[in-house]
Amino acid sequence: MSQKKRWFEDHAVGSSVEGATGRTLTDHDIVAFDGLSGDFSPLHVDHEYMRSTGAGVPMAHGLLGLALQAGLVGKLFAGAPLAGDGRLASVKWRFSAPTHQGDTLSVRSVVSALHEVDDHTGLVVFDRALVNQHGVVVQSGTIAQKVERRAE
Amino acid sequence: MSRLYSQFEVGEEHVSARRYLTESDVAQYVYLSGDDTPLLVNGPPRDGRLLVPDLLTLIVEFGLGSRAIQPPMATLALLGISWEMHDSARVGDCIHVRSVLSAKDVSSKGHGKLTWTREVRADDRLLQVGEVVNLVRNDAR
Repeated sequence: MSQKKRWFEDHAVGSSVEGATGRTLTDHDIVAFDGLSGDFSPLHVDHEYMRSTGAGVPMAHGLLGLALQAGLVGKLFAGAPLAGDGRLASVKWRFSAPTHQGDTLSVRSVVSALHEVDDHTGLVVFDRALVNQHGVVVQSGTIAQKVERRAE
Repeated sequence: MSRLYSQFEVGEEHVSARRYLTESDVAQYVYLSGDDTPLLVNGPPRDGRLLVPDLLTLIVEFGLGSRAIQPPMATLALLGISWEMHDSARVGDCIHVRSVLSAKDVSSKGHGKLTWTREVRADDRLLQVGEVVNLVRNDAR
């Protein structure tokens, strides 16, 4: 039995999903991301430096939030992943507010455009926002993803 | 010691060290992000090499790109990125980043925005290009 998938043709402009469950950032997430990215900026690793700036505690890497939105969106469609190998075409992303250990993040996603690329591939453009536990949009932007077309 | 906004000049260029993308990197990305797309495949990769998620390439690019700037920027925040993916990396690719400072803009409180144009390559293969905007401190602390 073949795996259920979401093909390009299964998307409609305006269709949206919103995460019922969130994910709480932990210190471990931030430390693990230090190592994965190689970004050991004092903004993320140095508690004393961050106290001296008045910011308090280290902030999570902006791209950790971008990675988490991918995971959160994936869980919303766990029963039917996007058809294809997950390749992206573009990312335009704003980092509006910092995130820290203890913040709980959830995601909103709306299909904003659909483009046929060729007989095999389409481009699905998502407007997405990462929202914290206070309802504040901390990151948002547009992600264009390549999705396979359903065979006739 | 880090570099303040006023110490940067438009046009300056930095080339990063090279880093191999490993299967362990992909596993850590999946484990950390919860994005298990790389695992939801129908079979073995066509050329025998696992595809690296484009976001993971971007994440590694950030580490390489930021460490290439020495002394490092006195960064206050990452403000935004605008990125295009041209090709996907595969496990075993060795990537590096070229960064050029393309714009400077004074921001509020005397700090400044630095806009970097970056390209990520695996040897001669262009993988990703884009712009990164950082907010950088301009007062010696």
